[in-house]
Amino acid sequence: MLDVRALTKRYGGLLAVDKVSFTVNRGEVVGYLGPNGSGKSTTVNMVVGLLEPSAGTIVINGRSLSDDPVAYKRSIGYVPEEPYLYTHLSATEYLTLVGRLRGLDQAKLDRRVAELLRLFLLWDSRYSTMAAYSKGMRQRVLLAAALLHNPDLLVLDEPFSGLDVNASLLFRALIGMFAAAGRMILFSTHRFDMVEKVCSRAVILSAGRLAAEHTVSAGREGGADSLEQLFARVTAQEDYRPIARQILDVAMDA
Amino acid sequence: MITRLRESPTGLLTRHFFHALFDFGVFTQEGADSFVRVVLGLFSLLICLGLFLVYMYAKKYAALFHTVSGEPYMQAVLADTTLAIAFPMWIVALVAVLVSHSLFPDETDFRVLMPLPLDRRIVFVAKLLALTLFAFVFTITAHLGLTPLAMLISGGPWSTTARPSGVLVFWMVGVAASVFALLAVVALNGLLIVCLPRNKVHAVTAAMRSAMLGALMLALPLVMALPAQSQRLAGHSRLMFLVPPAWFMGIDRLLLGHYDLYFFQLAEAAAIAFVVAAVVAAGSYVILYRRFDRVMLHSFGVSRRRKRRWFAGANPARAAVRDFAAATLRRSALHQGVLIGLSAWGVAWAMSILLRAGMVAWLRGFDVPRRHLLEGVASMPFPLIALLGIAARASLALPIEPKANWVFRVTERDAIRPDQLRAAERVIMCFAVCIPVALTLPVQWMVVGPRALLASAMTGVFGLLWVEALLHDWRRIPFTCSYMPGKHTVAQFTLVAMGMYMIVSTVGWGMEMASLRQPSLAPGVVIVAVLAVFVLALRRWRQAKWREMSLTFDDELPSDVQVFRLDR
Repeated sequence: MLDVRALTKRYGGLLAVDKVSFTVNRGEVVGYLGPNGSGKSTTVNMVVGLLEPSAGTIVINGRSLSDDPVAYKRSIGYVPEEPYLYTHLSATEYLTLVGRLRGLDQAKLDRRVAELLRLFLLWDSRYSTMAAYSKGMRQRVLLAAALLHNPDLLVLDEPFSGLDVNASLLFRALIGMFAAAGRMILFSTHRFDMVEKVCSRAVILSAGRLAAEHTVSAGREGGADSLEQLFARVTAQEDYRPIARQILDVAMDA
Repeated sequence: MITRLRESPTGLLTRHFFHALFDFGVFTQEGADSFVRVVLGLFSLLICLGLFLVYMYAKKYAALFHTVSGEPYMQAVLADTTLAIAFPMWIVALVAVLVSHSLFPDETDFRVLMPLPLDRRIVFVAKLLALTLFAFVFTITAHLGLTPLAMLISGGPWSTTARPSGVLVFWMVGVAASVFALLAVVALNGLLIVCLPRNKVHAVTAAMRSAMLGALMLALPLVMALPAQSQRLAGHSRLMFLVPPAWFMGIDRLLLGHYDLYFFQLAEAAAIAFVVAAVVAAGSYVILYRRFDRVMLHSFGVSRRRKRRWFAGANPARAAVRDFAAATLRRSALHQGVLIGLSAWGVAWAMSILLRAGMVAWLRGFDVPRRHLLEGVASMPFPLIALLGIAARASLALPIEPKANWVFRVTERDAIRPDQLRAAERVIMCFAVCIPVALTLPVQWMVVGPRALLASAMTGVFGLLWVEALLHDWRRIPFTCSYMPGKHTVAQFTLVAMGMYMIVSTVGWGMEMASLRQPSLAPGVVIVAVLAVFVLALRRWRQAKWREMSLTFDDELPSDVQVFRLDR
């Protein structure tokens, strides 16, 4: 289980994340929602160990990030929002690099890299540097890198951006099966439709604070607010139609 | 009018392209600001260098002005004018090679600017204007720096022209020569882009850029040796037709009224070369203008060779960083350029030491004092150790795709950190120890025979000592940490570096000389052993530190601001 308790991050005087707590249980896909600037990316960066929390604890399967960062990070696979990659490397070279840094046995790593490249439809491009890859191809490389060491928790930050329909369907199926195998997924996104399709629960963040937790199945069955309605309510969303009107007025005036 | 020009699409794009020429794509915003300070520091260094040259030449010309005949003066002027023309040429060629990634509108320009309602002509004109402005800044600074020297050599009792005319002609010819240097670099790059298959352009232009940098650095001792060519120039040597600055010196002489067939021929060579370079450069621009899609480069492929298992080693972390470093050095033009450029500087410096020691004459069978040869071969390793080590460190310190370093951050572990850092140590050791030993041993062997082995051992331990100095605060995986240039001002850095080099090379030179000249081997062996023990202790201490301290991914300027606690 991923257990996040009273997680706080301060940048000088700015409180970016304020005592956020949530859990991700085995077999669960938890959607992590919030408007821009709500502290979503900051939380994700703390969960994967890229940022040090100002306060609070993050524990996965009893291993705390602060006490045993190495064992903690071994349990995590991460797909960042922007496909930041060493684009002068080929997909094979990049996956080999990540696998070695993760301490995987070379023979096993070579086999796994080859299989993942084939399954993610990257085999034909394995000798091209990633500078030539489309955004979707880069996302696939990142997902392959995240799965390479068989993690317990997958942290996905907007993983569907840039993917074509087939790749999106593959990703969705993969997420469902990964959770069904008793693993955990923290799925950070702006897209309600994706959360409703792949997540069992959603955590909504607003202005750095936990605004709501929502069981997605309840929304699907119509027994409660839909996720979008709940999101608009708890994050104090404005009615954007007047703003959209004003934008069009300005654009059309030109 | 000026405001309208500045805000026109051409003006805006020219400013954009001009700024882009200072952007190597690896700096953060703070790093880019810092880089501008470094460039300004380099400009002031150029001016200082010009004044220093005047100081050096003042005594020589004072003596020449008082000779009974004007012949020695006339001979010296030929060589020194060639130097004054060559130096700005070299600088302009160097900066043109450094920015050769931006000499033509590139793929980003194509993708970003072509969908806009902009005439393609505007893009190309703006690029040319930016390039001209960039070259202009360096040309003018270099010529300003050398103007006092031009004033010194173009006056005096034996001069046949008025001093202002001499300076004016120097400026005209010098600027033309610098423009030629720029055009030659543009033409060479343009030819490659236009003629090569698109999937080869990236790799070949990167290799060509490194080769040109290396060649320019190796040419530096030859430039500095130009004042010694006065006899050749006065004797109308055909060899000088291989020296482009001499062609322009021919024009200088003609413009000052020295009508001589030799100068005509040199001037003719200059004119032909200038026209050829201009035509090829302009032609490349025109072809790219018509076929802008050529800049849409295909990414180059990578080797399909099977990995050598025995070489992969048992340590995956070290192998990971080693392969990453090797791939980056092979494919990144910037990193390759820094490595090869600085290394070639070191080699050029060592070559110039050997030239001064009379090594070439000795090899050709002339009698050269043995002491000079010994001094030369004993001094030779130090510029190699210093500059090759700096080259390796500097290229590993420059980042590539700084935002992609998260993969190293999420996998950082105490257990593998020393192994990851050791990959950088190996590269620096190869450059600061192995290559200097490999380059100096044969030369020392030729001069002193088997005794050279002891001198090489000494070179090796001095190299290892330098590796420890370079790595004392090293906590980066190669190419993953942001880079902040200009942590110290250029003047401060130059003074400290020169001071340190003088001290270490003098002490080291003394020890190498002792090992080469002493009848007994014992003192040399003892020195090597003591130094080796010292290096070993330093190495252990550094590696213990590597196990304890975390990796650095963000470079910072030193926080040396002194705060006065006035509230106390």
